[in-house]
Amino acid sequence: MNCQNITTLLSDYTDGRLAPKMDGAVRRHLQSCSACHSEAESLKDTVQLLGRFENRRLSPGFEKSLFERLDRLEPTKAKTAPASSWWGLSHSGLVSLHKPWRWAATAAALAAVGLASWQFYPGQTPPPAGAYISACVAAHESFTPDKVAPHVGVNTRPGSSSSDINPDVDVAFETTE
Amino acid sequence: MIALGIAHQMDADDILVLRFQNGERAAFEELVLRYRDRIFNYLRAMCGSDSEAEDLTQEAFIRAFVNAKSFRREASFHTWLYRIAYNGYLDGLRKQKRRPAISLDQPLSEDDETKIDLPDPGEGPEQHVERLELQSVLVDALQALPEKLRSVVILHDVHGYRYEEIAVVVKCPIGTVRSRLFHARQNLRRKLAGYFREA
Repeated sequence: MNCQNITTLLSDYTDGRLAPKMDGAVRRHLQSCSACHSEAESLKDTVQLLGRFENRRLSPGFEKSLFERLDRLEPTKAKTAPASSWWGLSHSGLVSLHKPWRWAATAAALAAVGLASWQFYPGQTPPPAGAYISACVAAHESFTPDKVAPHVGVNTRPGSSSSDINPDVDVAFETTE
Repeated sequence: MIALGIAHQMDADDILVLRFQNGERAAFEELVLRYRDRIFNYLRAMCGSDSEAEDLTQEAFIRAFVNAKSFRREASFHTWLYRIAYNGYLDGLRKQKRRPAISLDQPLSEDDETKIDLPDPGEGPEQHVERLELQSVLVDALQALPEKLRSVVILHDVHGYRYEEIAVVVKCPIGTVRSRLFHARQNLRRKLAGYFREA
């Protein structure tokens, strides 16, 4: 085994990652070659110096600042209406009711359905459940939906979603390309 | 070195991640407290600036918070977190021109100034100066490395990560990790030769 070969193995040798046979061969060479021995020692010293890279602590307000940002990221729990309506449906899936004007729009929609229902009274078939649902959806869609974008600058690869994030997928931090 | 204690924390991390995925915010905050210093010091070694590292650390945890529910434990949580931090660092590189490496005794800002080391108890003035000088040399030597070599040598020789874990963080084969580590050390050996007597 010549010196050039030994040099390429010194990094693995320093880390103890060579197979026993190869490790022995390198050790024997180092015992007889002062140049390679010197290089091995300097490599070991380099690793030891890097191990002396000192750690520092973060500034005292780091957690507070971070947790405040996390608070802003957590989705607001929507204030939902009672779990079931007279059609046995939940409002929360159809209309976000935490804005006052949406209450008004929903009330107007209900009134419209109620008025339509009155036309069928007495003795007439009430409107189907779909009419109520459509009215609620129409009231909701008539307003620009809130855009809630976490202030992260997060961008995943095109076509992926947050559910695709895993260690095998590039966790792109922000769009740069 | 940071490697001590990492194996012991593996199961505890899994439990905290599960609790957070089930909606317990306090579990994520516990993970922050466990890993904030490690991530900060990794990024600090990568970018050479305490203030920049602190910003990147915060962004890394935010990213982890947003995506924690999709974490599938195919790697350990801390490896996943380091991966996020590394990607955030790369993204920062792409967006801005790098600042030149700084010395620890030349703070760029008031924030950096507060992080200047005080002497250790029992450390004489001369030893203090030598220690600071060594830290400055280490920072400069690392900053002079190409980013691909720098990340590997920091993760292995400063943070004690195994080749397999490093391969996940920087997303390359183990053979490439070994090669980059070899070249990084060869490079650093020349720059640090004047300090070997102190090692």
